[in-house]
Amino acid sequence: MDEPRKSAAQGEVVMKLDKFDRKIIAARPDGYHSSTRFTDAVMAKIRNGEILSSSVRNMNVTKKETFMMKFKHLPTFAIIAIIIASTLVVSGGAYAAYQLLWPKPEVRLSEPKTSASGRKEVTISFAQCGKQSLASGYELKKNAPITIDEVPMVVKAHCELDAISTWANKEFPHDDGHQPPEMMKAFDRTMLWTSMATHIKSRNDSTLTFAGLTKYHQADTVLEATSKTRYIADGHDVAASAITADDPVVYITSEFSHITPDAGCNAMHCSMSSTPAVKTLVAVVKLSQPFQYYDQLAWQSLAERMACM
Amino acid sequence: MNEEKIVTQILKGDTDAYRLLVDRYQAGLIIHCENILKDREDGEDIAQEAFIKAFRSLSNFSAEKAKFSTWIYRIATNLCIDLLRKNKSKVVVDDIQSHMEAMQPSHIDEEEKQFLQKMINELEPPKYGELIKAYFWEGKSYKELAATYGTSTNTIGTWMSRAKVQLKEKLS
Repeated sequence: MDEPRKSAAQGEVVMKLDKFDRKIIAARPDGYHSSTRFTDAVMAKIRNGEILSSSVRNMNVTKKETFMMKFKHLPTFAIIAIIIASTLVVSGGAYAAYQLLWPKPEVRLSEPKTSASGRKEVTISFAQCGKQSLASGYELKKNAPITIDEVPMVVKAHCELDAISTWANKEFPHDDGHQPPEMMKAFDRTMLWTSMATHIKSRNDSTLTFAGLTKYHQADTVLEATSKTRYIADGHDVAASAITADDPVVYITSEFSHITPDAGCNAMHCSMSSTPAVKTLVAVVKLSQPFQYYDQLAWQSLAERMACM
Repeated sequence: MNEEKIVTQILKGDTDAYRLLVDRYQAGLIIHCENILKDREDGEDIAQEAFIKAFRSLSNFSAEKAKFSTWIYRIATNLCIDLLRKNKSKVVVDDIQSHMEAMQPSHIDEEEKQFLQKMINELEPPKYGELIKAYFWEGKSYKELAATYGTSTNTIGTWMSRAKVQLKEKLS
Protein backbone atom coordinates (compact mmCIF):
# COMPACT_ATOMS: atom_id res chain seq x y z
CA MET A 1 0.00 0.00 0.00
CA ASP A 2 1.18 3.51 -0.70
CA GLU A 3 2.32 5.31 2.40
CA PRO A 4 2.41 9.09 2.48
CA ARG A 5 5.90 10.44 2.00
CA LYS A 6 7.43 12.72 4.53
CA SER A 7 8.85 15.85 2.97
CA ALA A 8 12.47 16.83 3.27
CA ALA A 9 11.77 20.03 5.13
CA GLN A 10 9.67 20.54 8.21
CA GLY A 11 7.71 23.71 8.84
CA GLU A 12 4.46 25.20 7.66
CA VAL A 13 1.47 23.06 6.69
CA VAL A 14 0.67 23.26 3.02
CA MET A 15 -2.01 20.71 2.44
CA LYS A 16 -4.79 20.78 4.93
CA LEU A 17 -8.13 20.32 3.26
CA ASP A 18 -10.70 22.14 5.33
CA LYS A 19 -12.51 19.75 7.67
CA PHE A 20 -15.85 21.30 6.77
CA ASP A 21 -15.14 20.85 3.05
CA ARG A 22 -14.34 17.20 3.66
CA LYS A 23 -17.61 16.79 5.49
CA ILE A 24 -19.54 18.27 2.56
CA ILE A 25 -17.71 15.94 0.16
CA ALA A 26 -18.58 12.96 2.37
CA ALA A 27 -22.25 13.95 2.39
CA ARG A 28 -22.62 13.29 -1.33
CA PRO A 29 -25.78 11.20 -1.82
CA ASP A 30 -25.31 7.70 -3.21
CA GLY A 31 -26.11 7.57 -6.89
CA TYR A 32 -25.15 11.19 -7.43
CA HIS A 33 -23.15 11.48 -10.66
CA SER A 34 -19.97 13.46 -11.25
CA SER A 35 -18.51 14.80 -14.46
CA THR A 36 -18.56 12.21 -17.24
CA ARG A 37 -15.77 14.16 -18.95
CA PHE A 38 -13.32 13.29 -16.18
CA THR A 39 -14.53 9.69 -15.81
CA ASP A 40 -14.35 9.11 -19.58
CA ALA A 41 -10.82 10.52 -19.70
CA VAL A 42 -9.64 8.20 -16.90
CA MET A 43 -11.31 5.15 -18.45
CA ALA A 44 -9.89 5.99 -21.90
CA LYS A 45 -6.38 6.14 -20.47
CA ILE A 46 -6.85 2.92 -18.57
CA ARG A 47 -8.03 1.17 -21.69
CA ASN A 48 -5.29 2.68 -23.78
CA GLY A 49 -2.78 1.26 -21.33
CA GLU A 50 -1.27 4.67 -21.29
CA ILE A 51 1.03 5.78 -18.51
CA LEU A 52 0.62 9.37 -17.56
CA SER A 53 3.57 11.42 -16.71
CA SER A 54 2.48 15.00 -16.55
CA SER A 55 5.72 16.46 -15.32
CA VAL A 56 7.61 18.71 -17.64
CA ARG A 57 11.07 17.35 -18.28
CA ASN A 58 14.11 19.55 -18.53
CA MET A 59 16.74 19.64 -21.21
CA ASN A 60 20.39 19.26 -20.26
CA VAL A 61 21.41 22.84 -21.02
CA THR A 62 25.10 22.38 -20.24
CA LYS A 63 25.54 19.64 -22.86
CA LYS A 64 23.86 21.68 -25.58
CA GLU A 65 26.02 24.74 -24.97
CA THR A 66 29.20 22.69 -24.98
CA PHE A 67 28.32 21.16 -28.35
CA MET A 68 27.52 24.55 -29.90
CA MET A 69 30.76 26.03 -28.58
CA LYS A 70 32.78 23.16 -30.09
CA PHE A 71 30.91 23.51 -33.38
CA LYS A 72 31.69 27.23 -33.63
CA HIS A 73 35.41 26.57 -33.28
CA LEU A 74 35.61 24.08 -36.16
CA PRO A 75 37.36 25.13 -39.42
CA THR A 76 35.04 26.33 -42.22
CA PHE A 77 35.62 23.32 -44.51
CA ALA A 78 34.71 20.98 -41.64
CA ILE A 79 31.49 22.89 -40.99
CA ILE A 80 30.55 22.69 -44.71
CA ALA A 81 31.28 18.95 -44.73
CA ILE A 82 29.14 18.44 -41.64
CA ILE A 83 26.27 20.43 -43.17
CA ILE A 84 26.38 18.37 -46.41
CA ALA A 85 26.55 15.10 -44.49
CA SER A 86 23.69 16.20 -42.17
CA THR A 87 21.53 17.17 -45.16
CA LEU A 88 22.04 13.74 -46.71
CA VAL A 89 21.28 11.98 -43.45
CA VAL A 90 18.20 14.13 -42.75
CA SER A 91 16.79 13.77 -46.26
CA GLY A 92 17.35 9.99 -46.16
CA GLY A 93 15.69 9.87 -42.75
CA ALA A 94 12.81 12.02 -43.92
CA TYR A 95 12.23 9.70 -46.89
CA ALA A 96 12.19 6.68 -44.60
CA ALA A 97 9.88 8.49 -42.15
CA TYR A 98 7.55 9.39 -45.04
CA GLN A 99 7.02 5.73 -45.73
CA LEU A 100 6.32 4.87 -42.10
CA LEU A 101 2.95 5.48 -40.46
CA TRP A 102 4.75 6.84 -37.40
CA PRO A 103 8.37 7.67 -36.63
CA LYS A 104 10.28 4.64 -35.42
CA PRO A 105 11.28 5.19 -31.79
CA GLU A 106 14.94 4.85 -30.96
CA VAL A 107 16.71 5.11 -27.63
CA ARG A 108 20.39 4.96 -26.77
CA LEU A 109 21.66 4.92 -23.22
CA SER A 110 24.99 5.34 -21.50
CA GLU A 111 26.72 2.54 -19.61
CA PRO A 112 24.90 1.86 -16.32
CA LYS A 113 26.32 3.44 -13.14
CA THR A 114 25.47 2.98 -9.50
CA SER A 115 23.79 6.04 -8.01
CA ALA A 116 24.46 7.54 -4.58
CA SER A 117 21.43 5.64 -3.28
CA GLY A 118 22.97 2.38 -4.48
CA ARG A 119 20.60 1.89 -7.39
CA LYS A 120 21.58 1.27 -11.00
CA GLU A 121 21.05 4.26 -13.28
CA VAL A 122 21.54 5.12 -16.93
CA THR A 123 21.69 8.38 -18.86
CA ILE A 124 19.92 8.86 -22.18
CA SER A 125 22.38 9.82 -24.93
CA PHE A 126 19.83 9.84 -27.75
CA ALA A 127 16.09 9.38 -27.92
CA GLN A 128 13.57 9.71 -30.69
CA CYS A 129 10.30 9.39 -28.88
CA GLY A 130 7.56 10.99 -30.99
CA LYS A 131 6.17 14.06 -29.29
CA GLN A 132 7.20 12.91 -25.86
CA SER A 133 10.20 14.38 -24.11
CA LEU A 134 11.92 11.87 -21.90
CA ALA A 135 13.82 12.47 -18.71
CA SER A 136 17.58 12.74 -19.09
CA GLY A 137 18.09 9.41 -17.37
CA TYR A 138 16.42 6.59 -15.47
CA GLU A 139 17.09 4.72 -12.28
CA LEU A 140 15.91 1.18 -11.60
CA LYS A 141 13.55 1.00 -8.64
CA LYS A 142 14.03 -1.52 -5.86
CA ASN A 143 12.68 -4.99 -6.75
CA ALA A 144 12.23 -4.02 -10.41
CA PRO A 145 11.22 -6.99 -12.58
CA ILE A 146 13.64 -5.90 -15.32
CA THR A 147 17.42 -5.59 -15.50
CA ILE A 148 19.33 -2.40 -16.25
CA ASP A 149 20.21 -3.79 -19.71
CA GLU A 150 16.51 -3.97 -20.55
CA VAL A 151 15.89 -0.26 -19.86
CA PRO A 152 16.40 0.85 -23.52
CA MET A 153 13.82 -1.72 -24.67
CA VAL A 154 11.33 -0.59 -22.05
CA VAL A 155 11.78 3.10 -22.90
CA LYS A 156 11.50 2.29 -26.62
CA ALA A 157 8.32 0.30 -25.95
CA HIS A 158 6.86 3.24 -24.04
CA CYS A 159 7.66 5.55 -26.98
CA GLU A 160 6.21 3.07 -29.47
CA LEU A 161 2.88 2.85 -27.61
CA ASP A 162 2.72 6.62 -27.50
CA ALA A 163 3.45 6.83 -31.25
CA ILE A 164 0.74 4.26 -32.06
CA SER A 165 -1.80 6.02 -29.88
CA THR A 166 -0.96 9.44 -31.42
CA TRP A 167 -1.23 8.00 -34.92
CA ALA A 168 -4.54 6.27 -34.19
CA ASN A 169 -6.05 9.44 -32.76
CA LYS A 170 -5.15 11.30 -35.95
CA GLU A 171 -6.10 8.50 -38.31
CA PHE A 172 -9.53 7.38 -37.12
CA PRO A 173 -12.46 9.76 -36.63
CA HIS A 174 -13.74 9.98 -33.05
CA ASP A 175 -15.10 12.42 -30.49
CA ASP A 176 -12.78 13.80 -27.84
CA GLY A 177 -14.87 12.40 -24.99
CA HIS A 178 -16.12 15.77 -23.88
CA GLN A 179 -19.81 16.20 -23.31
CA PRO A 180 -21.45 18.71 -25.66
CA PRO A 181 -22.35 22.06 -24.04
CA GLU A 182 -26.12 21.43 -24.37
CA MET A 183 -26.03 18.76 -21.68
CA MET A 184 -29.79 18.17 -21.62
CA LYS A 185 -29.90 16.93 -25.21
CA ALA A 186 -29.24 13.43 -26.49
CA PHE A 187 -26.08 12.99 -28.54
CA ASP A 188 -24.01 10.37 -30.41
CA ARG A 189 -20.49 9.60 -29.34
CA THR A 190 -17.68 7.69 -31.05
CA MET A 191 -14.76 6.82 -28.80
CA LEU A 192 -11.45 5.31 -29.85
CA TRP A 193 -9.78 2.69 -27.65
CA THR A 194 -6.24 1.44 -27.94
CA SER A 195 -5.77 -1.83 -26.07
CA MET A 196 -2.89 -4.25 -25.68
CA ALA A 197 -2.89 -8.01 -25.96
CA THR A 198 -0.03 -10.31 -25.05
CA HIS A 199 -0.88 -12.20 -28.22
CA ILE A 200 -3.69 -13.16 -30.60
CA LYS A 201 -5.19 -16.25 -29.03
CA SER A 202 -7.05 -17.46 -32.06
CA ARG A 203 -8.35 -16.21 -35.36
CA ASN A 204 -10.49 -17.35 -38.26
CA ASP A 205 -11.65 -15.58 -41.42
CA SER A 206 -13.53 -12.85 -39.64
CA THR A 207 -12.97 -13.15 -35.88
CA LEU A 208 -9.94 -12.46 -33.74
CA THR A 209 -9.59 -13.36 -30.07
CA PHE A 210 -7.12 -11.13 -28.24
CA ALA A 211 -5.63 -12.62 -25.08
CA GLY A 212 -6.44 -10.46 -22.07
CA LEU A 213 -3.71 -9.37 -19.67
CA THR A 214 -4.27 -12.03 -17.05
CA LYS A 215 -1.88 -10.25 -14.69
CA TYR A 216 -4.38 -7.38 -14.59
CA HIS A 217 -7.40 -9.67 -14.56
CA GLN A 218 -8.47 -8.68 -18.03
CA ALA A 219 -10.64 -11.15 -19.91
CA ASP A 220 -10.02 -12.15 -23.55
CA THR A 221 -11.65 -9.94 -26.15
CA VAL A 222 -13.32 -11.31 -29.25
CA LEU A 223 -13.78 -8.89 -32.14
CA GLU A 224 -15.03 -9.14 -35.69
CA ALA A 225 -12.64 -7.93 -38.37
CA THR A 226 -14.19 -6.02 -41.27
CA SER A 227 -12.93 -5.38 -44.79
CA LYS A 228 -11.75 -1.99 -43.52
CA THR A 229 -9.72 -3.36 -40.59
CA ARG A 230 -6.08 -2.40 -41.06
CA TYR A 231 -3.15 -4.64 -40.16
CA ILE A 232 0.13 -2.91 -39.41
CA ALA A 233 3.63 -4.20 -38.74
CA ASP A 234 6.93 -2.28 -38.57
CA GLY A 235 5.04 0.96 -39.17
CA HIS A 236 3.57 -0.22 -42.51
CA ASP A 237 0.21 -1.55 -43.66
CA VAL A 238 0.53 -5.30 -44.23
CA ALA A 239 -1.75 -8.18 -45.21
CA ALA A 240 -3.79 -9.73 -42.41
CA SER A 241 -1.79 -12.93 -42.75
CA ALA A 242 1.44 -11.08 -41.86
CA ILE A 243 0.33 -10.91 -38.25
CA THR A 244 0.39 -14.34 -36.69
CA ALA A 245 -1.34 -15.80 -33.68
CA ASP A 246 1.51 -15.42 -31.20
CA ASP A 247 2.40 -11.83 -32.00
CA PRO A 248 2.01 -9.24 -29.24
CA VAL A 249 -0.37 -6.61 -30.58
CA VAL A 250 -2.18 -3.39 -29.94
CA TYR A 251 -5.73 -3.43 -31.26
CA ILE A 252 -7.68 -0.28 -31.92
CA THR A 253 -11.44 -0.19 -31.68
CA SER A 254 -13.95 2.48 -32.45
CA GLU A 255 -17.01 2.42 -30.18
CA PHE A 256 -20.24 4.13 -31.09
CA SER A 257 -22.94 4.87 -28.53
CA HIS A 258 -26.02 7.04 -28.21
CA ILE A 259 -26.24 9.05 -24.97
CA THR A 260 -29.58 10.24 -23.61
CA PRO A 261 -30.37 12.35 -20.54
CA ASP A 262 -32.23 10.58 -17.74
CA ALA A 263 -35.66 11.72 -16.58
CA GLY A 264 -35.51 14.74 -14.25
CA CYS A 265 -32.43 16.14 -15.95
CA ASN A 266 -32.04 19.91 -15.51
CA ALA A 267 -29.40 22.56 -16.19
CA MET A 268 -27.54 21.97 -12.92
CA HIS A 269 -27.88 18.23 -12.37
CA CYS A 270 -28.10 15.75 -15.16
CA SER A 271 -27.21 12.10 -15.30
CA MET A 272 -26.97 10.41 -18.68
CA SER A 273 -27.52 6.87 -19.92
CA SER A 274 -25.72 5.23 -22.78
CA THR A 275 -26.81 2.55 -25.23
CA PRO A 276 -24.49 -0.48 -25.38
CA ALA A 277 -21.46 0.51 -27.48
CA VAL A 278 -21.17 -0.87 -31.00
CA LYS A 279 -17.51 -1.89 -31.34
CA THR A 280 -15.61 -1.92 -34.63
CA LEU A 281 -12.10 -3.27 -34.94
CA VAL A 282 -10.29 -0.60 -36.97
CA ALA A 283 -6.67 -1.72 -36.70
CA VAL A 284 -4.37 -4.43 -35.39
CA VAL A 285 -0.78 -3.33 -34.86
CA LYS A 286 2.02 -5.82 -34.33
CA LEU A 287 4.45 -4.62 -31.65
CA SER A 288 8.14 -4.59 -32.52
CA GLN A 289 9.44 -6.21 -29.31
CA PRO A 290 8.38 -9.00 -26.94
CA PHE A 291 5.37 -8.14 -24.78
CA GLN A 292 7.31 -8.03 -21.50
CA TYR A 293 8.81 -4.62 -22.43
CA TYR A 294 5.36 -3.09 -22.90
CA ASP A 295 4.08 -4.28 -19.54
CA GLN A 296 3.10 -1.39 -17.29
CA LEU A 297 5.15 -2.89 -14.48
CA ALA A 298 8.29 -2.65 -16.59
CA TRP A 299 7.79 1.07 -17.20
CA GLN A 300 6.82 1.62 -13.59
CA SER A 301 10.15 0.07 -12.55
CA LEU A 302 11.90 3.19 -13.78
CA ALA A 303 12.34 6.37 -11.79
CA GLU A 304 13.21 9.50 -13.71
CA ARG A 305 16.59 11.15 -13.22
CA MET A 306 16.47 14.86 -13.85
CA ALA A 307 19.35 16.85 -15.34
CA CYS A 308 21.14 19.11 -12.86
CA MET A 309 20.11 22.73 -13.39
CA MET B 1 -22.77 -1.20 -4.39
CA ASN B 2 -20.05 -1.14 -1.74
CA GLU B 3 -16.37 -0.58 -2.52
CA GLU B 4 -15.28 -4.10 -1.76
CA LYS B 5 -17.79 -5.57 -4.21
CA ILE B 6 -16.80 -3.09 -6.89
CA VAL B 7 -13.10 -3.92 -6.45
CA THR B 8 -13.84 -7.66 -6.60
CA GLN B 9 -15.82 -7.13 -9.78
CA ILE B 10 -12.97 -5.18 -11.39
CA LEU B 11 -10.45 -7.83 -10.39
CA LYS B 12 -12.67 -10.42 -12.07
CA GLY B 13 -12.19 -8.52 -15.33
CA ASP B 14 -15.05 -6.02 -15.37
CA THR B 15 -12.94 -2.92 -16.06
CA ASP B 16 -16.04 -0.77 -16.56
CA ALA B 17 -16.95 -1.21 -12.89
CA TYR B 18 -14.02 1.12 -12.14
CA ARG B 19 -16.19 3.96 -13.50
CA LEU B 20 -18.23 3.69 -10.30
CA LEU B 21 -15.19 4.41 -8.14
CA VAL B 22 -13.95 7.22 -10.37
CA ASP B 23 -17.42 8.74 -10.38
CA ARG B 24 -17.75 8.41 -6.61
CA TYR B 25 -14.41 9.95 -5.59
CA GLN B 26 -13.36 12.26 -8.40
CA ALA B 27 -14.89 15.47 -7.05
CA GLY B 28 -13.28 15.16 -3.62
CA LEU B 29 -9.96 14.02 -5.00
CA ILE B 30 -9.72 16.88 -7.49
CA ILE B 31 -10.46 19.40 -4.73
CA HIS B 32 -7.88 17.70 -2.49
CA CYS B 33 -5.16 17.93 -5.18
CA GLU B 34 -6.22 21.44 -6.18
CA ASN B 35 -5.78 22.45 -2.54
CA ILE B 36 -2.27 21.05 -2.34
CA LEU B 37 -1.08 22.27 -5.73
CA LYS B 38 -3.01 25.56 -5.71
CA ASP B 39 -3.94 24.95 -9.32
CA ARG B 40 -7.16 23.40 -10.64
CA GLU B 41 -5.73 21.99 -13.87
CA ASP B 42 -2.74 20.39 -12.15
CA GLY B 43 -5.18 19.07 -9.55
CA GLU B 44 -7.31 17.42 -12.22
CA ASP B 45 -4.24 15.94 -13.95
CA ILE B 46 -2.87 14.47 -10.74
CA ALA B 47 -6.29 13.14 -9.68
CA GLN B 48 -6.52 11.44 -13.07
CA GLU B 49 -3.02 10.00 -12.69
CA ALA B 50 -3.90 8.75 -9.20
CA PHE B 51 -6.97 6.89 -10.49
CA ILE B 52 -4.90 5.27 -13.23
CA LYS B 53 -2.12 4.32 -10.80
CA ALA B 54 -4.68 2.89 -8.37
CA PHE B 55 -6.25 0.82 -11.13
CA ARG B 56 -2.90 -0.63 -12.15
CA SER B 57 -2.15 -1.59 -8.54
CA LEU B 58 -5.65 -2.70 -7.65
CA SER B 59 -4.54 -6.28 -7.13
CA ASN B 60 -2.33 -4.99 -4.25
CA PHE B 61 -5.25 -3.20 -2.62
CA SER B 62 -6.60 -4.82 0.48
CA ALA B 63 -10.06 -3.71 1.61
CA GLU B 64 -9.27 -5.14 5.05
CA LYS B 65 -6.37 -2.72 5.56
CA ALA B 66 -7.94 0.47 4.28
CA LYS B 67 -10.88 1.93 2.46
CA PHE B 68 -10.42 2.59 -1.24
CA SER B 69 -11.01 6.28 -0.59
CA THR B 70 -8.17 6.44 1.95
CA TRP B 71 -5.86 4.59 -0.42
CA ILE B 72 -6.58 6.75 -3.46
CA TYR B 73 -6.11 9.92 -1.37
CA ARG B 74 -2.70 8.63 -0.28
CA ILE B 75 -1.68 7.87 -3.85
CA ALA B 76 -2.82 11.32 -4.97
CA THR B 77 -1.05 13.06 -2.09
CA ASN B 78 2.22 11.32 -2.95
CA LEU B 79 1.86 12.28 -6.61
CA CYS B 80 1.19 15.89 -5.59
CA ILE B 81 4.32 15.92 -3.42
CA ASP B 82 6.34 14.46 -6.30
CA LEU B 83 5.08 17.18 -8.64
CA LEU B 84 5.85 19.93 -6.13
CA ARG B 85 9.35 18.55 -5.72
CA LYS B 86 9.89 18.33 -9.45
CA ASN B 87 8.77 21.91 -9.81
CA LYS B 88 11.27 22.79 -7.09
CA SER B 89 8.52 23.94 -4.79
CA LYS B 90 9.26 23.77 -1.13
CA VAL B 91 7.12 20.94 0.13
CA VAL B 92 6.65 21.42 3.80
CA VAL B 93 4.49 19.48 6.17
CA ASP B 94 4.56 20.12 9.90
CA ASP B 95 4.37 16.51 10.94
CA ILE B 96 3.27 13.25 9.47
CA GLN B 97 0.24 13.04 11.72
CA SER B 98 -1.33 16.30 10.60
CA HIS B 99 -0.40 15.37 7.05
CA MET B 100 -2.16 12.03 7.46
CA GLU B 101 -5.19 13.59 9.06
CA ALA B 102 -5.43 16.27 6.41
CA MET B 103 -5.40 13.82 3.55
CA GLN B 104 -8.07 11.50 4.84
CA PRO B 105 -11.54 11.76 3.34
CA SER B 106 -14.15 12.37 6.02
CA HIS B 107 -16.47 9.53 6.97
CA ILE B 108 -19.81 10.55 8.41
CA ASP B 109 -22.71 8.40 9.50
CA GLU B 110 -25.90 8.09 7.47
CA GLU B 111 -27.92 10.31 9.81
CA GLU B 112 -25.41 13.16 9.66
CA LYS B 113 -25.13 12.71 5.92
CA GLN B 114 -28.87 13.08 5.39
CA PHE B 115 -29.03 16.07 7.71
CA LEU B 116 -26.21 17.79 5.81
CA GLN B 117 -27.93 17.06 2.49
CA LYS B 118 -31.16 18.54 3.84
CA MET B 119 -29.38 21.70 5.03
CA ILE B 120 -27.67 22.11 1.66
CA ASN B 121 -31.04 21.82 -0.10
CA GLU B 122 -32.46 24.52 2.19
CA LEU B 123 -29.78 27.13 1.52
CA GLU B 124 -31.10 30.49 0.33
CA PRO B 125 -30.97 31.55 -2.44
CA PRO B 126 -31.22 28.03 -3.93
CA LYS B 127 -28.23 28.70 -6.18
CA TYR B 128 -26.00 28.46 -3.08
CA GLY B 129 -27.08 24.83 -2.64
CA GLU B 130 -26.62 24.22 -6.36
CA LEU B 131 -23.09 25.64 -6.20
CA ILE B 132 -22.13 23.44 -3.26
CA LYS B 133 -23.46 20.34 -5.01
CA ALA B 134 -21.87 21.17 -8.36
CA TYR B 135 -18.44 21.89 -6.85
CA PHE B 136 -18.20 19.35 -4.03
CA TRP B 137 -20.27 16.49 -5.43
CA GLU B 138 -20.07 16.80 -9.21
CA GLY B 139 -16.45 18.00 -9.50
CA LYS B 140 -17.20 21.14 -11.47
CA SER B 141 -14.54 23.86 -11.40
CA TYR B 142 -15.11 27.53 -10.57
CA LYS B 143 -14.46 28.22 -14.26
CA GLU B 144 -17.25 25.85 -15.33
CA LEU B 145 -19.60 27.28 -12.73
CA ALA B 146 -18.79 30.81 -13.85
CA ALA B 147 -19.73 29.83 -17.42
CA THR B 148 -23.00 28.19 -16.23
CA TYR B 149 -24.04 31.27 -14.24
CA GLY B 150 -22.64 33.79 -16.73
CA THR B 151 -20.43 35.43 -14.13
CA SER B 152 -16.78 35.60 -13.07
CA THR B 153 -14.84 33.02 -11.05
CA ASN B 154 -14.36 35.68 -8.35
CA THR B 155 -18.13 36.02 -7.98
CA ILE B 156 -18.44 32.22 -7.76
CA GLY B 157 -15.81 32.33 -5.00
CA THR B 158 -17.79 34.96 -3.11
CA TRP B 159 -21.05 33.01 -3.47
CA MET B 160 -19.31 29.84 -2.36
CA SER B 161 -17.94 31.52 0.79
CA ARG B 162 -21.39 32.89 1.62
CA ALA B 163 -22.97 29.49 0.99
CA LYS B 164 -20.51 27.81 3.36
CA VAL B 165 -20.96 30.43 6.07
CA GLN B 166 -24.73 30.00 5.86
CA LEU B 167 -24.40 26.21 5.93
CA LYS B 168 -22.11 26.37 9.00
CA GLU B 169 -24.67 28.58 10.75
CA LYS B 170 -27.46 26.15 9.97
CA LEU B 171 -25.43 23.27 11.35
CA SER B 172 -24.32 25.00 14.52
